Amino acid sequence: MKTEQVVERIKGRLSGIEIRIPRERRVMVYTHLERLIEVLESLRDQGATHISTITVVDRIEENVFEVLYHLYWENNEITVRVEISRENPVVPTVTTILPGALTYEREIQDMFGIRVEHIPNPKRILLSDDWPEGVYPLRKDYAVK
Amino acid sequence: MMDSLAAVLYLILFPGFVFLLVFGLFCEWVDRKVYARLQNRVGPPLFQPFADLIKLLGKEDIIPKNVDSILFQYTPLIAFAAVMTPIIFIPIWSATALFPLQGDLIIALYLLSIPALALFVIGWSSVSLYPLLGGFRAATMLFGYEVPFILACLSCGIIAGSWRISDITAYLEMYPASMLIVIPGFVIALLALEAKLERTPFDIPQAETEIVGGVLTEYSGKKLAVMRLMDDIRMVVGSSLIAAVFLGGFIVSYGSISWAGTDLTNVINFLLYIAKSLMIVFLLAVIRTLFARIRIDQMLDFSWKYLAMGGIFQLFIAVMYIGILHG
Amino acid sequence: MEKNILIPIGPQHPGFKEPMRLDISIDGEKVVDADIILSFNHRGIEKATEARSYIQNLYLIERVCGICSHAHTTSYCHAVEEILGLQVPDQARYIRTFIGELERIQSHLLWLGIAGHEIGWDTLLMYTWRDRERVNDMLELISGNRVHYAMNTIGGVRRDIAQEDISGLKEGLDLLEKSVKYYIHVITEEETFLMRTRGVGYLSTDKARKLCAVGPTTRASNVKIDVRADDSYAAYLDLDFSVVTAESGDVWGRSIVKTGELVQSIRICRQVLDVLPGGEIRTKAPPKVPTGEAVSRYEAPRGELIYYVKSNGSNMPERVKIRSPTLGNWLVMAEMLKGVYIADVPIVVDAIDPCLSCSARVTMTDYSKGKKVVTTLGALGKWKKGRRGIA
Repeated sequence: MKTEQVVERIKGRLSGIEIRIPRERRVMVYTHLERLIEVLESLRDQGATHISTITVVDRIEENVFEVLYHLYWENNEITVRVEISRENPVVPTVTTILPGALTYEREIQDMFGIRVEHIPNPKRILLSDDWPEGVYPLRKDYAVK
Repeated sequence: MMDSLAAVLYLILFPGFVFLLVFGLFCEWVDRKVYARLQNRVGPPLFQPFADLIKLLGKEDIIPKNVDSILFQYTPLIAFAAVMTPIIFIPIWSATALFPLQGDLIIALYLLSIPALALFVIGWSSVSLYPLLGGFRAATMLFGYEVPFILACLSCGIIAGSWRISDITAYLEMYPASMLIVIPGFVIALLALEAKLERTPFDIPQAETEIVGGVLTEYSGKKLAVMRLMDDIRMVVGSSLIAAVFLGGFIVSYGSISWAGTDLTNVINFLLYIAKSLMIVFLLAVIRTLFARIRIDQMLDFSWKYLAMGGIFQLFIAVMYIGILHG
Repeated sequence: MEKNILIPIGPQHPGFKEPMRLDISIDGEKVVDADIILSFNHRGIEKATEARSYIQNLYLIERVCGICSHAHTTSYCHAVEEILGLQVPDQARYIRTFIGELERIQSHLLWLGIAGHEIGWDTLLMYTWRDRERVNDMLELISGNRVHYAMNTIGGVRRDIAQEDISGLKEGLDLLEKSVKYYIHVITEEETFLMRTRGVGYLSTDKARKLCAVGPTTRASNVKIDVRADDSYAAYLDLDFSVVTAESGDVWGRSIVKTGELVQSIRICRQVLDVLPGGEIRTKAPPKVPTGEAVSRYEAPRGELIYYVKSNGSNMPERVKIRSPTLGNWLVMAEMLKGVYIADVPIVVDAIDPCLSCSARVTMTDYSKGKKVVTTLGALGKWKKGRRGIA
């Protein structure tokens, strides 16, 4: 499916969503935390059932974490992006919509200390058992010496 | 006095301990070399098994804290003794074995199943997860291969009308054509021996990728060396037994061959024995190369559905043969 | 049985080539549930990329994985080139494709050997790994290296394929094709291989989609996803190949898909050698990268590999996110293990071709609270005691 068609179909189902197309087959969907579930659900219902990963970017100067959900739909890579506050980093779990997201949600819990609400399995995945609590290595304020 | 001295010499030197040691290590080399060549590899040099043994003997011997010390230490010796004993019933340089007994075929078969029981005891006494699983698997497999193996061997006994290995060999030598009737039995016994020796596709009790070292996980040093040597000797004795029972015809016991005034009958017979055993070792190595390891349930399935059925079929043929011949 | 028995497998186990732990609950001989713990060698590569220049990162990222090193650098280069707006010369695109496919061949051959080893068939291992040597020799001929080829650079590749090498490469491909055809024959005919792989580790099409499996694992469950075809990169758009799928969804299906892909890879390699356009192999890239971001996807031998690179105008990236294919297959691995025999656990785990160095990207540089924590041997012993034993 052509990228423009994908954008049209997303826009048809969701109003007031900012969409950018950096290049062919890449779609960036900007949304807010409150609408995240709604957006993902709508995408899932249209066929974007594959989640590739979840990326977190620590924008420390602006005091936000940007969470990017990389979905895959009909030859297009669709990135759904939300910004969350750095003080209280919480996102809802998306495993109810995309069960395959569990691994990546566990990963962002480990690496960024973002709390994922109602995650089915909150155990550590990438960091070792003896890693201290409350230390999140991929945050920008964690300095590697 | 002289008799008992000779007997002791027989037991220690030839065809007893020393001979079995040398021939066992040689067979291990043949097995490994054939396996390697079939796998497109170079394979070990001739003295590699011997070097492995010497090195293992010199290694630290660790007895884990929680093991049942007596069982853990002495079971290898029992298994070792059990696999060496049948050689005195097997004809080597003539149609008569060293100490033939009435019914020694049965004794030999039972002595050869002792290692499986020993492995179970070892697995139990090791108090560790992998040996325990390996021991259970070894014991479970025993129920699979034992019946076909005994059925196949007994068919030959029925044909020869005796449970004595020497008699069976002599009979097959007298009527070489009867070897043709036991060909199915030979195949069954070969496959059952492969399972007895715990080699691929039946190496379930020591499946490295599943249960690490299997039964012998906790063993090291001398005890491991004894167990390894036990495996080699088990292979030799098992092959010799099959050679004597199924390929008995290739032996010269009536009349004699001499060259330049020396009687060479025994030498020729001995060489024939070596050739027969090596052929079986070779076949075992080929089987090992060809197949993937099957699961324990598939192994039991295979044993009972095909091997045991084949064994009964062989027994039936043997009885029919006797009936036609003597009835 | 009242309670299921919990068996810990790993972190060190001959069935696993890298440290991971699998806690399997068993009922009799069958696995009821499985939990996978892979936090044993996190290397912190994502963090390390933020403190290195784009060129230095190439060498770091090459070492994310020893088997699919080219996949990682190509994916990274694509992302950086997209931010820079660099046009990669045609010759470089083709060479990247060629190396990528050779890498897929060696990776799949490696897998086939390991799969044979897991089910106790070392003969297959010896045969496939001997052929893998041939691929490594071909890679050495082109790049001078056998494992980390160091072929990629931002804006192109570092070495050209010499005209006089092409005939040798073609010969190598012919030999490979012959042996691959033999392997296909073997794995479809050999009874014990079928006994151990058919119906083992079943994954339904529905589950594969739901749990977002990637690569040959999902293609064996009849889900036609292949980044090379769907989201074409490098020179794949100009080349003719087909996406191999299987319907059985078991370990056997995965072997069929992988061997089928070997044939396709050889086909792609031949086409590349025939149509190599020649000319420049790289465009010069500036050391500083303007602010921007890019998502780059690549079909690594094990499945979809995804890179997200964000730049901040300096010569170091702001964020590099790596999601290796193995991580995408974790959830389905737990799913596939349910209901298999204990004896089948190694082959089922191996069927997704796990590559932990990709998945857990860190060394234990424990710099918490500013000081290095040294683990003593005694502490290690205590830790081990706590874990051991039969439940």
